[in-house]
Parts: sequence; structure tokens; C-alpha cells
Amino acid sequence: MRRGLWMIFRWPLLIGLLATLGLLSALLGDGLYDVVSWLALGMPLIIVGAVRVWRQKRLRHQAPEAQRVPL
Amino acid sequence: MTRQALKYWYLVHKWTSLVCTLFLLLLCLTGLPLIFHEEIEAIFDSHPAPKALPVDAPAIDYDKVIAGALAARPDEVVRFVGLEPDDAYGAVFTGKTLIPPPLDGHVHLFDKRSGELFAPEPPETDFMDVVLRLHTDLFIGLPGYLLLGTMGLLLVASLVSGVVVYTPFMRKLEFATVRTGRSRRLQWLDLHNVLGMVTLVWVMVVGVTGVINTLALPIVGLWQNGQLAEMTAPYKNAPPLKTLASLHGALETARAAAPELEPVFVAFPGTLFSSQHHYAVFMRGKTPVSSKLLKPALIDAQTGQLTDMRDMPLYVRALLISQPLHFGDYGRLPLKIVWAVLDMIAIVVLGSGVYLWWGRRRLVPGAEPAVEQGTRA
Repeated sequence: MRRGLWMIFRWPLLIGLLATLGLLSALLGDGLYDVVSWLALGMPLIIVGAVRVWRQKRLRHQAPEAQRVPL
Repeated sequence: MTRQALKYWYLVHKWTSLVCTLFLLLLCLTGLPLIFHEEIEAIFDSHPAPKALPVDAPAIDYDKVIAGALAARPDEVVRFVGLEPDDAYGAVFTGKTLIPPPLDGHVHLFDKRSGELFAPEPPETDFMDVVLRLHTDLFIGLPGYLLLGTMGLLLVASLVSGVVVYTPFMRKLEFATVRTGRSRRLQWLDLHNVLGMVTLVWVMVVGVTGVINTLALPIVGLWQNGQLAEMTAPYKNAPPLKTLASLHGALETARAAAPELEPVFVAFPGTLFSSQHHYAVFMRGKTPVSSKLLKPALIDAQTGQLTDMRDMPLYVRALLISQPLHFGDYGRLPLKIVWAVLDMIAIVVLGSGVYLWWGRRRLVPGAEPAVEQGTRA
């Protein structure tokens, strides 16, 4: 299936919007605003990394010859 | 997009990246310790922690602090006084002349609450200074700044073209797919793509604010010849100063004129940040945004009267706001850690980019590279 621009960029777009929020939040306020910054900038890295490790592990169990590991 | 157009975008991505990669690797590597410069400097700081003082301790007399500093270095004159509100210590900067070469003169730290002065120290060049110079001007001043600024612009072009050439790769792939088990090259290509995408906005913002920072010297020059010259114009033909009015009084006057602000540093008459006849008291606000901006109050250094106080022009404010966005120092330690992680991911993206280019050169020696076949997954 040929994926359209929306399908290709929906995740990068979400991560980009979160990063923008994270970059601005701590600039505009203190306290809770700082926490929003840490999470909005940091969580996507943790999630992408964790899901990748998890999928890889699962695939190694189920199909050792898998050629593709989504995420 | 046609195949031809895509090929051009790929060439833009390749060449803009290749030209700036070495510089960006240097910037990422030197930037890593610089993110934590406050923490690192605190470890190596030889000054004792400020003593506890009673809440009702009397306010210090800044004129006595100045007199003490001058007594310690009788052959020098005071150029600046730093009063960073977040630090327990202030600093008096003295030099043989008002406008000395960069590393001439002494720094006199003092306790802002007791007025106690430490022995004057020459500005030292320690490890962090070397790292900072490598990160900002490569030890060659303005040309270094502008060279690194140009590399930042190439980075922006590389990011935009990178997003364009990313599209055809992903026509048949789910986001963040990393194809393992086929070839090492394909795996690194997928990693380059996903890590590049995850860090895109951050790298773009740090890159653009970095470019703005490389223009700091021209921006300050523009302000000196523009707004500062305008504010001090009435004094253009005034006779030279014979005696200096009280610094303490000047600070009081500035505080009274803008009670919602607090002084950050004072430029003495005759330095580049003031006129021949004024104390320039640079003030900043206490709210998250206004604490990033500066507002100079000019105090007549003869009479101690306030003569002018204005918000800085837009181009200076753009510089001041772009600084925290580049440094990552505006959201406490966890934000700095996030900054460091993003910086390290950026290093991986840079390294994998070079690897992909080098690998392809070896695959097809001398051949004009066709656009990568990412759709055939």
C-alpha cells in the first residue's frame, strides 16, 4: 500500500507539536510549566525507544527470521 | 514529486550536510558539557559557600565595595559591576583602561549581602572556557562566529531537504520501522530517518537560535550605534566627567524608576555599554519571560539623576530570548538532561549520515548516486 502524506507524517507531526510545546512551556512559566517541558520533550524519546526494544524482543521470540521490525 | 525533483532535493541534503557535519559534530560534542556548565563550575568553584546572615542584616553599601576593589588594584579602573540576582556573589570588573583587550584586568567577587570582597583574580582560561571558545568562535573572533552561523544555516537547509527526501522512503513503511537482518546499511538508514524525525523540531530550534547567537556582536554594535547613541545624544558635547556620583545612589535611582525590575549589571561611564557620562544600569524582570529580557536605565554619573530608560529594540530582544532556547537552561536540571539526550541523538544522526554517504560511495565508486530505493521494502 502506498501511504499518503498524512499517514507518513502523522507521528512526526505529533512529536513535532509536542516538542514545540515543550520548548515553549518552560520559557513561559515556572513550576508545572517546567514539568510539561520535560515530559513533552522527553516522553517521545522514551516511548519510541521502549516500543522498539519491546517489539524487537517479541519478534525474536515469535519469528526469529523476521526481516522487518516495525518500531 | 517527480523523480528529477527528488534527486535535486537529495543532492541538497547530501551537500549541505557534508559541508556542515564536521562543524556540527564539534558543536554537539562541545555543547554537551556546556549544557551543564553551571553544575560543572559549581564543582570546581574554590570560593566558600556564602555565610548565613540574619534576615535583618543591613543592606550593603556598593560604594564601599567599589572602593575596596579599587584599593586592591590601585592601577585599575572599574568597568562593570555584575549583580546577577540568582547568585549570592556579585562581581566588580576592573581593568587598566575602560576598553581593554578581552583578557586584561581582574574580577573581584563579593558577597552581595555582607559586602565582603574576595581577592582579585585575573580572568582565567580553564577547560570550560576552551570548550566555550570552540563552541562559539573557534578562537578567531567574529569570523569564527560567522563561520559557525553559516554552518547553522546549512543545517537548516539540510533539515528541510531531509524531510523532503524522507517522504518516499516511508511510502510503504510504518513510522519508526527499523529493518534489521537485511543489511547493516538499511538498518542505519532507518535509524537515521527515525532519529532525525524524532529530534527534528529541537534541532531546528537549537540551530536557528544558535545562528541568532552568532550574530551577538553585530547586534550589540547595532544597539550601541542606534538606541544607545540616541539615548545619550544630549550628552554628546558635554565636558568630560571629573568625579563619579555614587554607584549606590545610581542603583537606588534605577530601582525606584522600575520597582518591578532588578539590576543585573552596571556599565560604568566610558565603557562600550554606556556613554562617557552615564552609569548604564541593566535591569530585568522577575517573571519567567521578563527575566530573559534587559532594560537599561541611564543614570547621569555626575548628578545621579535618571536621564532615560527604554525597552531594548526588537532585534536585541530576539537575541535575548533565543539564548535560553539555545542553552536549555530555563527549565531546571531535568530540562538540561533532556537537552543532553537530544544532543547525543543528534550526534548519532550526524554519524549515521556520514556512514550512509561513505557506504554508498564504496558501493558505487564514481557513479552518480540514484535516489535511494526506500520504497522497495
